[in-house]
Amino acid sequence: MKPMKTNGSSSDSIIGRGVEVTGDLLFAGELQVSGKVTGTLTSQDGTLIIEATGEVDAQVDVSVCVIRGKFRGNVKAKSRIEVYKSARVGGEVATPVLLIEEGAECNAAIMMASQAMAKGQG
Amino acid sequence: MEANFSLRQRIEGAVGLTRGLGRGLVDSSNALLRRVTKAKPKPEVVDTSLRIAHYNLVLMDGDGQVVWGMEYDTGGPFSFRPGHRLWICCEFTNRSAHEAGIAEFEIELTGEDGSVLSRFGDSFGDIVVVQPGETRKFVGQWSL
Repeated sequence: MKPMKTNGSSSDSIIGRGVEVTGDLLFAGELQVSGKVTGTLTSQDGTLIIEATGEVDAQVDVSVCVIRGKFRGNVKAKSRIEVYKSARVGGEVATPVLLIEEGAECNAAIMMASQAMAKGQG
Repeated sequence: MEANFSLRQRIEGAVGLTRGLGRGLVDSSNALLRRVTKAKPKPEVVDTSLRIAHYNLVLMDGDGQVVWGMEYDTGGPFSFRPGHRLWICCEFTNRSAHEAGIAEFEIELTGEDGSVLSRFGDSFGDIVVVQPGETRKFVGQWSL
C-alpha cells in the first residue's frame, strides 16, 4: 500500500473516534488518534498521541509518543514516551525518556536507549 | 410584706441578670467559635509538578571534576507530576584516544529557562574506566 501522507505543516492531524485506518502513515507535527489504527506510523520529529478511546496496533517510529489508550506493537520514540493511567500497552517500547503514571497497564518489553541510539547515531 | 416583695424583686432581678449574662456569654462564645472555624486556613494546594524541557548528563572523575557533559532535548516540554515515574537513559561514548575514568554521574532535569529542577546522581564506589570507542549507559529515575 502506498504510504498516506498527512499535511506536511505542523498543524494537528486527527483520526477521530469511530474511524479505522489501516496502512502506512507518515505525518509531521502532531497526530491524535481517537479511533483505530493498524499498520505503521512514522514521523521524523512528530508527536503521536493515542487518546483514551484510541487503539493502535502498529510499528511506531516517532519523536514523542503519548499513550492514554490501547497500544500494541513496537514503539520507538527518539525523544520520549509518556504512558498515562488509562493506557494499556503491550509489545516493545524503546526510548531514552519514559514517563509512566501510576495505574497504567504496561506489559511491554522496555528498552531504555539513549537519544543517540534512538537516532541511530550509535 | 413590702420588704419581702422588694427582696423577691431583687432576687428575680439578679436571676434575670445572671441569665442574661449567661446568654451573652454563650452567644459570644458561639460567635467566637464561628469566627475561629471560619478563620481556619484551608490546606494549601502545593503544585509540585515540574515542567521539564531538557536534561543533562554530567560525568565526574574521582576528584569530583567534570570530565564530560551533554545536554539533551526532551522533544518539547512536558509535565512531571505526583504519581508519575520517570526514567531517563543517557550514554557516553569515549571518542577520544585515551581511556576515561568516571567515578560518578549526574542527570539533571532542567526547565524551559535552563534552570536545574532536579538531579539524580550515583557514584560507582570505584572508578569505572571507559576505553576508547566504548559506550556506557547511565540511567536515572525519579518519582513524585
